[in-house]
Amino acid sequence: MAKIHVTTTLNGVETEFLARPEQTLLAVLRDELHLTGTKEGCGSGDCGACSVEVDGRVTCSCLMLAAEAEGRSITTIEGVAQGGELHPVQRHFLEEAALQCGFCTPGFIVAAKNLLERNSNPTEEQIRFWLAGNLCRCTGYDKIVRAVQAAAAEMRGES
Amino acid sequence: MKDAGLASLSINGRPVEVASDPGRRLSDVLREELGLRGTKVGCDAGDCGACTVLLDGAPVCACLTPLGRALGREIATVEGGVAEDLQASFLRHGAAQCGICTPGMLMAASALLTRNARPSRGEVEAALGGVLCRCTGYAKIVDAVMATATAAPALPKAGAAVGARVERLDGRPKVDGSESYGADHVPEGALLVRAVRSPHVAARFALGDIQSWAARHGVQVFTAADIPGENRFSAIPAFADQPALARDRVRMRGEAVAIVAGPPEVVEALDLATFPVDWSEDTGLRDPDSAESAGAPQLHEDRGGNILTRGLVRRGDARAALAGSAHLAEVEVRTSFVEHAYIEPEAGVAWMEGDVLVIRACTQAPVMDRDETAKILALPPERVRIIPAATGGGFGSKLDVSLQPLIGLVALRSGRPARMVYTRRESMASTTKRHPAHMQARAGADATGRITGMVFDGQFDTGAYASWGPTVAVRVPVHASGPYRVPAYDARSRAVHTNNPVAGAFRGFGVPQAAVAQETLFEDLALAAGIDRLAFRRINALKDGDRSVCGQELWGVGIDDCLAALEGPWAQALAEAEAANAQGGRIRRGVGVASCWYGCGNTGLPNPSTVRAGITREGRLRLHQGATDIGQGANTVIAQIFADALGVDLASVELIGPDTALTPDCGKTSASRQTFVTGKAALLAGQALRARLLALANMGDEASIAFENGAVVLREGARSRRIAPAELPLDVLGYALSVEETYDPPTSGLDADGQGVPYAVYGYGAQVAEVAVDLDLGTVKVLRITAAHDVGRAINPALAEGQIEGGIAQGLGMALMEEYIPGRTENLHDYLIPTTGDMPEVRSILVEKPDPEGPLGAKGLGEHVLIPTAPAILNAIRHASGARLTRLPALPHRVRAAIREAAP
Repeated sequence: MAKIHVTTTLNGVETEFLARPEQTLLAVLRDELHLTGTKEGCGSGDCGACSVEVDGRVTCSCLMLAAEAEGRSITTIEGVAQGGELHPVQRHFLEEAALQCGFCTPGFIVAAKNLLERNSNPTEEQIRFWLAGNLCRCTGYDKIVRAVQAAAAEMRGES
Repeated sequence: MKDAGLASLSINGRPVEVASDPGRRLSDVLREELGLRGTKVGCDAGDCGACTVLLDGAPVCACLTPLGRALGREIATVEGGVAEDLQASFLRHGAAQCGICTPGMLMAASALLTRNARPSRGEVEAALGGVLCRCTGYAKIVDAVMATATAAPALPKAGAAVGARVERLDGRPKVDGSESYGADHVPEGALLVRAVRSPHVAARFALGDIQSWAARHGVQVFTAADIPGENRFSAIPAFADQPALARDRVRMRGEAVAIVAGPPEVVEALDLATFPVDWSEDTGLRDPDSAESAGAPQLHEDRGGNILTRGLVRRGDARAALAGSAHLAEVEVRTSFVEHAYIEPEAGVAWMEGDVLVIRACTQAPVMDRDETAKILALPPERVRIIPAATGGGFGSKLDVSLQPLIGLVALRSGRPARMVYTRRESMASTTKRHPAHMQARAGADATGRITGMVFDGQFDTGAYASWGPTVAVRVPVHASGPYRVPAYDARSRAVHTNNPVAGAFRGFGVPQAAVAQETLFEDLALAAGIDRLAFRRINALKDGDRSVCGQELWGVGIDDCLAALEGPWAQALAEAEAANAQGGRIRRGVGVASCWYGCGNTGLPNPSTVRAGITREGRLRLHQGATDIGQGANTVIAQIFADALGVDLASVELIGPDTALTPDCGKTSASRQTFVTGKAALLAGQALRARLLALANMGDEASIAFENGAVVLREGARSRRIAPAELPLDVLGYALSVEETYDPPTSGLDADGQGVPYAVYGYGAQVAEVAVDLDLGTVKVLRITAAHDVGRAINPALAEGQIEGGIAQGLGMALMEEYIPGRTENLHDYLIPTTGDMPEVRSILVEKPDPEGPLGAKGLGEHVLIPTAPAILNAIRHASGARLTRLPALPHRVRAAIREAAP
């Protein structure tokens, strides 16, 4: 089967890969590019564990074909920390104990970071609404919401 | 007799004596008498702040402080009173230029950060306002302080770990994406394995021409005929009945009949519907009533009437007690299958290392996985090594083996690494569920509201195979009284086989279902007796010295403390609901309360944990932490207990995980046992290693222990002793010095009436739920849950709160939305679990009533937290609307029907 040559910007770096036509972006990230931080929880767009940013939009990478990434800019969990320095959202997830098993965490962090880039001062309701596409079975979400609020405050320079 | 002019001071934690005039400036005393010249003098008038030191943590100008005012107080100076990370941050940010003001800046910043770990920029500026700097313009100084405040907080010092809100020690890789779960490790050349599964709930089958099919596709196929050992497993060996690969007959949908292995791109592309198998479908038994009816086909030959097992606890004459009661109540409740829905579907990889089969997969029970897999593959256990991958949630289901024997078989037979990743559908269809229960219960109370007796009968649909069904059947009657005095009691349970999914372990082992019956029953009694519902529970709450329904004398009983802690929130919630309802309208508010208790560890059976700790010749401290961390926090909590028992900084502890080749058995992560059982073993191990080191150094128990530059340094008063591990001979475990300690909870088996000591430690809790019910639509919105849980001792309050909040989310799901229907809800859009939008505010109250047996008084918590949620919500719905739900989940159509029934 002919593979498709795809050129993307992945975590800020121009990246080329070959993908089978039916291969999802998630499969290419994990299996071909070995970026296993992005998780598969359902394969049907229900759980959000595979969330990545595509041209600044939060996207379930299990629902997007790898070939569709041509010319786009993609950010995965591996691109959130900069040079070993955690993003405020990541740091507050740790500080606020906003994760337990951690499997949903990459998806939540990608989605939350995206929210704070759009809206530096979201209400709790806006945070909950934004993150409703990400399922977590461990935490009950409360500490996740607190972590996002704390990260938002820090990013606004308030704390 | 001391010289009258000799003043005793405490500087940076050390006692110091100085002969000086009490009126002399502290800055002079520090610099001139004691040689501590880090403190600078810039003005001697309190204007510049360069001489800032801390007196009992508060910044003062040392130049304005007479020596006499510092007597008996703790003085901190730049020479030892500043955290290293703050100093490092000043350096990194270029916050010091000439450096003369820096000591004062550091002290002022230290005082702020001690008081407020996360100050705002404005708060930093205010706190540093009394210290002048002429070089920097201040911005970099404020940056440096802010960066320290946002950096990972330093780990607790020796003796301060237990009780601290320590960040998870294993957290960093979980937020940066580098953590490796079951599907994340892919050895070169690994084969991909997929399973052919039954689409039928019950069928006989015959395999066709597998050889040709395999050859045509370029794959290998393995069936039951290839399994070299005993092709049956179960959590409990006496009930082993579940084949790794079915032979001739399947008893449930999703049961594997064959596995296919080959190159990943080939196996991924296979259409398994073309696999040659001829099914001859049976109707199967879809509910336990049919399974128990006369003449029903039997799922397992040796289990007459399809009864897997029964449980009984009996004390006194319950029926006679009910007959003489002033108030009586009766309930009948049904619950549904509930899916664990961890976000990580089962995944793992197996490979050979010499003649050892290594399996790296998500799990809650590595040693059980090793023994089960060895048995199925006819290997001695020492030829199987289980390395638990990071596990993306378990909640009970990952106690059972799933893919381990399958990938093990392929690796063993092919010699190549073999990997398997369940799809979500496959995970939901083939792994265990919470038992659906059909429960009937009656109870009575006397005129003063004291419970006189209770009768309980529960039928649990245990599905096709045993799994943890026997544990559920045993736990339910032990716990169905709730944490209350029930003097006469008769509780029975039975686990019934059907062709439904295997019902196994799920957070609470049947107790959450039993609590729904019991707490709604006691609600009826409280209402019948005309007693406030919280007060009714307090009247009947177990107290220290009471006997449980098993006749066990109980100590460290915290249920009344939990209920007492809820009095305020309860009264406030009732008042708010009343005020809201006074407005009228179709949205009605209600408040409910329910309690829990839960025995930690195996029921009347041994379940030891062994903890090993050693000091390497390089002077590193290793803790073999065998309590598998599936998110609940054992890696952090066990290390906290150990560090304090040994008396070292938490940062000195290196963790070796629960790899069966490296770490002794700490049992399964189940039954809320790890903080209690493994925690106690870690406490003993820490104490034992401390005793060894003290003996080597010939020091008393006051000595401090530190790991410094490859050596262990003990200090007691002015004495200091350095132990060089490099100079000690290695022991049999390969350490310069090591200890191994085992703890097994003291319990006794239950007699024929269920009397005995089933658990050594119990945890208690109670929750108040506030809801809004739409009377027209039957929809329920939970507005707030206030949860008080007695944890004995909160080893890590942040992680304990995390357990409470997460357990409540699962309890809310069970109450309002979760209902697994085989073949219909095998995905996360038809099977609903709570999202951010469903979860209300959760207020956690940690109650600490120490348990005499638990480590430092600690009790288990993980399962307790889920138990009260559903009944508290049901009681709140009833309070709001009168609706008495008899079936979970309380979906809108059921709530609406119950409202109609209550007020026709």
